[in-house]
Order: sequence, then C-alpha cells, then structure tokens
Amino acid sequence: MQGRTRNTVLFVSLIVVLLLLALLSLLLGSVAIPLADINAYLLGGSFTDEVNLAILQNFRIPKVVSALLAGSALAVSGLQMQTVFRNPLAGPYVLGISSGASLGVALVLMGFSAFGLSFWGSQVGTVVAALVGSLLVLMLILAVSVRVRDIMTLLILGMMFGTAVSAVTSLLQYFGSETSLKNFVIWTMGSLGGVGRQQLWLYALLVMLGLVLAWTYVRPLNVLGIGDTYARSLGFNVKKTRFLIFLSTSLLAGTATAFNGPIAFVGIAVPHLVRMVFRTSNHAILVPASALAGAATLLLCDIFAQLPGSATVLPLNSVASLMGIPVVIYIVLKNKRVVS
Amino acid sequence: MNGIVIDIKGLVSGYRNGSASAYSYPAFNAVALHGELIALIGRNGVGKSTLLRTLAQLQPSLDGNVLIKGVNLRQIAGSEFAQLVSFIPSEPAHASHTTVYEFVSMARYPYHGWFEALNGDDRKLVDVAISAVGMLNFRHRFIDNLSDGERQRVMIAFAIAQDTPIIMMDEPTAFLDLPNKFEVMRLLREQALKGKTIIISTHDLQTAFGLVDTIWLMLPDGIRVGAPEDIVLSGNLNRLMDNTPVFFDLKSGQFIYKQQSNQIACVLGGSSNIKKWTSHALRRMGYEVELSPIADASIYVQIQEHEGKVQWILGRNDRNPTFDSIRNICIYLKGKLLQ
Repeated sequence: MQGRTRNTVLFVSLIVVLLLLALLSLLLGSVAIPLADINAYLLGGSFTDEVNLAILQNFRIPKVVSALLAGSALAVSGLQMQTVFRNPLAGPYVLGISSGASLGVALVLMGFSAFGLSFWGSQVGTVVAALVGSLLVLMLILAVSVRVRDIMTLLILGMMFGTAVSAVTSLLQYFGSETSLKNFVIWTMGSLGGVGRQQLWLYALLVMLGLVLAWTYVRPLNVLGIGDTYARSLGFNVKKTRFLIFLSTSLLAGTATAFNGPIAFVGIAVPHLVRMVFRTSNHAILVPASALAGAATLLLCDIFAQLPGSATVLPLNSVASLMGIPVVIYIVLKNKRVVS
Repeated sequence: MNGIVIDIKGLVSGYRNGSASAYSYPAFNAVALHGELIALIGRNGVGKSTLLRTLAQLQPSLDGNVLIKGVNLRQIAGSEFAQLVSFIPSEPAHASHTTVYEFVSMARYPYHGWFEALNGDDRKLVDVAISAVGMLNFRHRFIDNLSDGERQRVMIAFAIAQDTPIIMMDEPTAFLDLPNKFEVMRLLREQALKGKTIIISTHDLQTAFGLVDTIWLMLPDGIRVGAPEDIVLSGNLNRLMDNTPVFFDLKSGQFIYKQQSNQIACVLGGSSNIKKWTSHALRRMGYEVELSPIADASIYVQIQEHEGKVQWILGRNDRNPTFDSIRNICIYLKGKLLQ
C-alpha cells in the first residue's frame, strides 16, 4: 500500500501545481493583473480597473481554459498512442491527425484566397477547417484499422497518410500568397490565445467526450500495452477496442489542434514523464495523471511564451520544445529505462 | 486421468492465402484428457504454434471441429472462452513499469466488466497464483527486471490466475537454463495434477520426456500420440529427424549427431568411462570409432592409466606423441586438419 500513498501524494501535488500555474497564468501577461481583481472576478467584488475585467473575461480565462483542455487532450491522446503502438516515439499525431488539420487550415488560409474567397479566413473558419481535416484523416484510419490487424502496418499506414497529406499542404504553401503563407506558418506554431469565449463550450464538450472515452478504456489499454495476443486471449476484441481508442485519440488531438494549432511536444513528452514519475503502467493512474500533467505543462509553457511584462508573445510550440526537451533528456538519461 | 476435455475432430490448422491454403497441417483427431500434460513436439515450421493458436481461437481453423467439454469452439467467444482457456504466447509480455502483481491481476479481467473492480476473491486468487510459482517475494518487482526464468514463472502464474481448466503455452521453456526448464515443467505438472489440461509446445525433448504424460509428435504427414516411451519404442522419434544427420539412439536414450566420416579411429585400453568419452571426443573430431584393433584405421589412441593419471598415446608404440588431456589430443588432431 506504500505505492498507493505515494500516488495520492503525487496526485495532490500535481493538482496544487496546476492550480498555482492557472492562477499565475491569469495574473501574468503583457498587462499584470492584481490578485485582488482575480479575487473579485471569481468571488465577486469590485475591480481596481474595469479594463482588467475585460482582459480576464475575453483573454485570460479563455486562454487558461484552452491550455487546460489542450494540455490534457494532447497528453492523454499521446499516452493512448504510445500504449496502443507500444512505441515510445508515438504521439497524438502518429495517425496523421495534425496533417489533416493542417491541410484543412492551409486550404482555408491559402487555397481559398487563391480563388478570391476570403470570408473563410476567419478564426471560426480555421477551427472548422482543421476539425474537418482531422476528421477525414480519422475516418481513413478507422476504415483501415478494422481491416488490418497488425499494429505495425497501421503505424506505417498512419505515417504514410500523414506524409501524403502534408505533401498537399506543401503544394498549397508553395503557391500561396506571402500574407496567407505567414498566417499559416503562425498557425502551425500553436497558440492558446485564439479561442473565443463562445467557442469554449464546444471545445470543452469535445475534449470531455474524448477524455471520458479514454477513461472507459483503461483496462483494454492496460492489456493492449502488454501485447495484442494477451489482449485477445483475455477475451478482448482488439480491433473494436482499437477503433474506439483511435476515436478518442482523434477527438482529443483533432480538437486541440483545431483550436490551438499543432502543439507537438506535450503529447510525446508528458506521458513519458508521468510513467517515470508514477512508476506504473496502470492506465487507471496514467490517464488522469497525464491529463493533469499535460494541462500543467502547457500552462507553464504559455506563461513563459507570454514573456510577462512585455508586449511580445513567443510562438508556443518553440517555447514548449526549448523548455521541455532539456527536461525530458535529463529525466531519460537519469532513468535510462524509459520503455523497454 | 479420464474425461475428455478437448476433442479434436479432423482439425486442419494453417494459413490461407486468398482462396488457396498457403500452408496447412494434415487433418487429425486427438483428445486431451482431464489433468493431462501434453507436449507438442515437431520440427521448426511444422505448425506447432499455428496449431496452438488455432486451439486458442487466435486464428480460424481451415477445417474440422474442436469440442471443449462437448461444446464447439466456434460457439464460445470472448470472455467466455477466456474463462475456459488461458494461452501464453511465446513472445514476451511488453511490460515496462508493470509489477508482477499488476501483471498477474490482468488475468482476472475476463471475469469482470470494464468498470468492475477486482474484488477480494480476485486478489486472493492472484496471490495464490503468484505463490504457486514461488514468486510471492517478487510481487512488487517490475516484470522487466526479472530474469528469464523468473519471468516464465510469472507467465505460469498468469495462466493459473486466469483460473481456466485448460492452459496452453507456446514454448514455455525456450531461452531457459536446464534447471529452469525442469522447474517450468515441474510447475506445469503440478497444475496438471490439480486437474488442469495443459498443452505446451517445446523443442526440449529431454525435459519433456522426463515430465509430460503425453507427446503429440507432429510429423509432416500427421500427428502421433503416445506416452513418451510409446513414441520412442514406435521408432517415430527418428522420423522426426528424417533427412538430418541426427538420430535417436534407442539404447542410450540420447540424440546423436552423425558426421560424414570415412576415417576410423581405434581406441584401445583404459577404463570404460574414459574409453567412452575419448570416443566421444574422436567422433566430435569427425572419426568413426572402433574399440578393437583394426588394420586400416587412420589413427590409434591408446589410453594408459598409471597411479591415477591418465595418458593418451597417439599411435601404436611408445615413441608416439603423448597427451595428458583429451583437449590436447584434439588440439593436435585439429592442427593436422588445419594444415
């Protein structure tokens, strides 16, 4: 039972860290907001400055919420893919989800503008396009997954689809105008800022759906992690289980990418860190722990990306990689046995 | 040991490639009884794993039927089947950061829905299974930190915890040292004595012959069923080695590798054990050995024992090279071969 106490301590500290980071993320930014105003917003009271209310409502709160959603979605989908493919290099995007989303966005930002259609280039337009793009790739993957049993074949097919779709995106980039190209490149760098308050409920709904699905599949994930043959001889229908796990992964990664752009790092690194810190492969622990840790990681990255006190905002993807990779390398070298 | 648990009727296992069967093993009939420990023996590629996987419902049969306790295999599916048969594949479990206890607990999944937690009975069964293989002190160790022998014992615990009347294991003794091979067989035998029907595939004839009840010998033209001794006396064991330089010596109970040789070595003198092992060495070096003087022999080895020391003289008289160990004669003979 020593392990259980240890896990409780870890979970409690993770939640405390997450709350602190969320608070910090509300306070810091190009304009520092005093704690009293956050208190006023959350618990009711008067603001020191009414502008702060507007900033909180329209920017900071949506940003923190989308960091929580994207972080947990990406980490959990990455965990699922690493388990299903039994491959430490897998992440939320191995199935080609981000390539699909990118193609959708590229079409909206560059393809349509070539035909003089600009009304789609709105924020809602990119979200819808990214969702549709990842959905199409998802359907392709699911169609293949019910026919192919071998997991390595699936992995290769997923990567091939992704590469093919990326090639089309490259073509669009090649022919795209300079402005639209820049807009697209900025989208690929990821941002927590762009989600409007009205879209948050949809974002939250889709991510919650994916997380619930992931939580439902804790036991099949445990067994699939051991090996497909073990799963089958324990009476699990591997193809069906895999289908639903892919559905959950695509929902999570697709939604997060649609709203916040492709953020690669969190989905690959966080599941590793969680496995090493919690020292288990039991998904009843790994799924919630990855969700919490993913959210915390993304919040932390965003706090740095905002360069508190300055008006400049660095691209989230670059900050995440630059900050996170040294940490991951350190932990990997310290632990050596990451995944056998 | 009576009561038919598995009844195989005209089963054809194999792989189908398109409409034609790419590989199939001839149809056969066999029964596995209550408490019977069966070893599936055959050459590489004859279809042992395929047969086991077919019996474990991991791949469809091409023809015929398998009845488990009178019910057709095809009519039992999913977790219901997982409560009848536990199958341990030859590929190792991919289990980093998984403790022995966590791993063996998964064997209880077929008895519960996805949300139903394992109850006290499950935990008790898991503990019983782990202690049955003597791994109770290792229950909180990670699987990937175990030795091959320990890991294989955990696999048996997994099968025990699944609590099925039938256990199938694909090559449970591969990669193990001799004591561990016997230990695995002993554990399986113990389970058979508790009434489980166990089918394993193996290449370890020595271990299998020592401990199993029945051999299913998979020859290319069909299965021969019998006690290990029946298989030996029927001469079928040598059919296993058809077209190979290996044969089974009925008298010594050993497998002998017969080298192509037209050179004869005469071994003379010495006590019977020294003579036997000197002959062994010379056969290894490619000679045919005669224990009486022969005129056209290529070499003569005289063994002299004197005050507990043994000497080997190569040739017929005392002036010939003399050696104080078998290794040194071998080095000398090999040196001549290499010239």
